[in-house]
Amino acid sequence: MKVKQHIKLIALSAILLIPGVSIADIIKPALDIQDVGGDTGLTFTGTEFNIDSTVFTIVTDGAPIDIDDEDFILTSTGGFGSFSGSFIVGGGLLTGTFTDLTVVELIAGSGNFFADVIYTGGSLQGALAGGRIEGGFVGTSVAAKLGEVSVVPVPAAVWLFGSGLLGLVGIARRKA
Amino acid sequence: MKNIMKGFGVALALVASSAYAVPTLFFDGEINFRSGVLNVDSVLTATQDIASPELIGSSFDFTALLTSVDSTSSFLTIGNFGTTTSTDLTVTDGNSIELLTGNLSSLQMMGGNGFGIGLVMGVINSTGGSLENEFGIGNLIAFEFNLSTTFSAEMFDSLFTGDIDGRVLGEEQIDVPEPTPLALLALGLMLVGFIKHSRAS
Repeated sequence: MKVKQHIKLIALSAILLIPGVSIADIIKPALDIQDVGGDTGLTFTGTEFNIDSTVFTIVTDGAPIDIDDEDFILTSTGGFGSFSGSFIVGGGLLTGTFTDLTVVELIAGSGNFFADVIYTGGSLQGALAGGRIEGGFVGTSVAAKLGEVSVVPVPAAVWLFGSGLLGLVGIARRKA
Repeated sequence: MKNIMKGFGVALALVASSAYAVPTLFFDGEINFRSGVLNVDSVLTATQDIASPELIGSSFDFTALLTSVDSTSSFLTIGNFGTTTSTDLTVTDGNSIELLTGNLSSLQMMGGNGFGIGLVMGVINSTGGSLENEFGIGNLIAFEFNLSTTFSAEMFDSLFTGDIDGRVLGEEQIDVPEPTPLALLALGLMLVGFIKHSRAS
């Protein structure tokens, strides 16, 4: 009987300790970042990853909120998978830092990038509690979103299934 | 002096610099893929180098049919899309004015295997709308994120949803005459010199 209890305890601990794979999403409200006339856009050399772009909209669950065009400047150094640096949104809207910015180059000069960010100041800091930036680039053209983070836990199906089986075995043995 | 002024006028006309404007529609919305059909349901978030349309209540929608999936690379999956039997793209402003209609070609959705983020690129062949002439053959560039799936060779076998953010750029650039500050300054200085010279004599 003690062995059965131990097995159940181990199974329960496994469910609680192993959260499963997590998927990070861009959660609204998010800032819409794109390069417009006069912006340098994206510069990616493999050891440098910089963006000179513009923020002009706050995307919400409802209608987009138009804001004055503000500069978005992101500067970083490092290399694939480990860029770190800081960014600033003009007009005193937002400042922040990031580490482990990942660049996925799909075809030559085009790809995606993403990173969790930490907001360090600005009038939007309070509204954006979490922080994540994701985007795509084609040459120097860039489109990105800077928003909150939602870590959505995916049920650890294998562990749930395993513990269910253990439970059934336990019940069956008890009945026997 | 008159000859100098004439010569300068001709030079001014010849060296007049110009700036290039690219008509652009920025959009933001949702995508869903079901049974081989990609649908984008989005709104205009901003415009550039066109007369500002009413953005509130606007729509930027397009549809494309999956034609093939390229998964020859173990790292990358590309979905190739073709045109539908009806108009692929329809853009209207908040006053229900039709801004742009067109058909898509060379549309590709690509992403790194295992990632829920990717790129969408294609060509829009304008067929109507008040902005048809400004866009002509336009380029669509967007990135998709928050996908309910991750990129893989099998991703197009089932339904998925996500968000999209991007723009359409008009191919033909509009020539916008711009005053040449240095030339104008020089012209002003010459006029001042000419006036002083006239008064002195």
